[in-house]
Amino acid sequence: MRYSKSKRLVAIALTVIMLISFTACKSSSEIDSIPKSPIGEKDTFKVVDQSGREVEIKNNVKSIAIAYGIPTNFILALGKGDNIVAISSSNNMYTAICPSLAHAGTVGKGRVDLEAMAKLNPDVFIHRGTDIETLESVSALGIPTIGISPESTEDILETIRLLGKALGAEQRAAELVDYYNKKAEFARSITSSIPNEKRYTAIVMGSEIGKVSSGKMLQSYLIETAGGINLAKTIDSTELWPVVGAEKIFQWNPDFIFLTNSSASKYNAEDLMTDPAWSELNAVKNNRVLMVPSDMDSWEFPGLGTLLGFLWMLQQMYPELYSEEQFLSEVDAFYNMAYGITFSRDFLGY
Amino acid sequence: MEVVKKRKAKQNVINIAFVLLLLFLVMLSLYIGKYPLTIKEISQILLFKSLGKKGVWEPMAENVVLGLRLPRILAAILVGSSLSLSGATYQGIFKNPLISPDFLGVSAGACIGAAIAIIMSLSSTYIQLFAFFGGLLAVMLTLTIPKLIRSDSNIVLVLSGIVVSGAMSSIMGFIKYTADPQKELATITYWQMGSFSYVSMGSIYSVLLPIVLSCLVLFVLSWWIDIVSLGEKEAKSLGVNVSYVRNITVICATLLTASSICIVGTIGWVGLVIPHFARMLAGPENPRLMPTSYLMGAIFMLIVDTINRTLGSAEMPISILTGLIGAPFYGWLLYKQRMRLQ
Repeated sequence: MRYSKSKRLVAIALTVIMLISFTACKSSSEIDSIPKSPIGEKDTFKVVDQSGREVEIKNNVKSIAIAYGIPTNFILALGKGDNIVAISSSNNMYTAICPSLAHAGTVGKGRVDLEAMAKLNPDVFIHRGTDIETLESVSALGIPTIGISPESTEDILETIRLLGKALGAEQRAAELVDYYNKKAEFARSITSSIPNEKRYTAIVMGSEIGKVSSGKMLQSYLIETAGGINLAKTIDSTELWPVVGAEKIFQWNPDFIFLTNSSASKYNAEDLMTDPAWSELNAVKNNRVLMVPSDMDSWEFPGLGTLLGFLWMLQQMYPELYSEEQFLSEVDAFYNMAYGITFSRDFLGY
Repeated sequence: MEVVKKRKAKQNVINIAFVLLLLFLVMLSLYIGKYPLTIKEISQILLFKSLGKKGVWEPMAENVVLGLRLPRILAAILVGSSLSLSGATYQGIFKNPLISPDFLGVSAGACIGAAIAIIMSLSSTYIQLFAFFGGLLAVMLTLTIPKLIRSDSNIVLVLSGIVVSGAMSSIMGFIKYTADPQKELATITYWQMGSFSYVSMGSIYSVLLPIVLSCLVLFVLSWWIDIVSLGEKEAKSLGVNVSYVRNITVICATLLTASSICIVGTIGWVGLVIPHFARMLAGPENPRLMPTSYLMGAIFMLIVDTINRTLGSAEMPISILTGLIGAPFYGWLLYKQRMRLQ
């Protein structure tokens, strides 16, 4: 038994040697040749992305790869959806706007499959600006990578401008930024005459009860643009979503509690409304615990849709100043402007 | 004497066979992947590049072979062999087959280091540095506790490893709790489960020296490890300085683990299971066990990573696969050993 084992091993070893010598033989032809020349320098230009990296991009970007959800709405609004060749996930709204997304490939979710990326060889890869590791790894393949960080409103507008420049849609980007700014201005003008002490107070609560959006977050901007006061702004914390706990919220007693539809949420509006402990809160008593609409297009997620986020909050807080009809026509106008399509209320889920 | 010689010769044949198998797997792994390349193209790239000559091929093809596949293969070999060797060393020196390379807290410490770097949005070089020093710091802490309570026994060291690992995983839990679930958390999770997908030549070079040196020292010391594992009294009566050998081997084994973790994250099972298999083939004596364990670790890791790289549309964290493969094998091993015991 022992001898046959060692014989087998010798046989395996010989096979390996044969295979190696075979592959070595195969490649000894065509020695004196020159590598293909890279892209000419004039065909490219440089942008600085939101991670502060200088990136050289082709003039006419034809293929875009993404590996997380946030860039999609920007690219679609810039009219470049057909150029997306890889996407992490899509939904019915995105495929309604751009049917070709249904056939787009994938290069991984979160972490990128580098060899699949090499196979696809897109003109540009757009990714989360904080994920330097992925950006660097894809860059090393010779694929230009753009890091985006649409955290605050200014950052969102900057993302639009940056992607507009990178994808050859600067004019369109300027239009979108202008539209966003005008709507924000409009929202502010509606409540501008209300003195601070008469404004409604509100908080935006995140993935768990007692976790609130700090003054640094986009959600805080939404409340303020809509004419409310974000009570969590006074929290002195470096965290973006500090956990203040339910008691602090009882002490604040906000007029409105807005909930984010983060998929990690462990509760919903119903839970708070029926919980006896919360029953004395103004927001609960007046039926003002509300989930920010996000079934298809999240209105509080980094993207253009946040302009509907503050308009929706405005309508919820001050219906006498801004009617539901006005808001509904604004929703249609927005989707028409951004994506050239309108959606029913049912479809969007609000 | 005759018997010993025969066993030695048999072991040499096994080791040579493993070396050849490893070489074969390296070639095979270079030739398969998602990027479509012909055997001719790959051979050309490898041959021309190694001879320093120029050839015609797509720039991307070269990036894939030399920038993606080659570093991954080298990293899999380095990491697999390091973890397995360090596991064999620990198991030998502490006479405990249940010990894995990270029991002194090196993995937990490295994870904290890496997680801090990830939260601070630092580049991969810093993540590696933070991980490396986090791992070493944790082990230093583990080694300090027995000194504080003035005990030199193995049990106290193992217990202090449990203490430090426990404290570290709590800190890790806290970091994960505060991490942004949309951004950092996924990266940290990948890191905790290990992944070869972003390995570069640069990161391999950065850990090559500590890995090679540690391996050499461990191979040289393998003989003494045998004596130490006889028991402290016996080793002392044979004139071996037990704590000296133990400290050096622990430092080397820790360096091996910390170096592997810092380039690919933490990978479970390899350091625990592979030495057991090696022991089945090579017997319990360390001078024979360690080279076999080293080679088997490299082979196992290379096979697992090649499977991960080529199958499926998205890559999994590597620990998922090593666990799925390692656990049943370990069970089978226990079954076999039970049969033998009976």
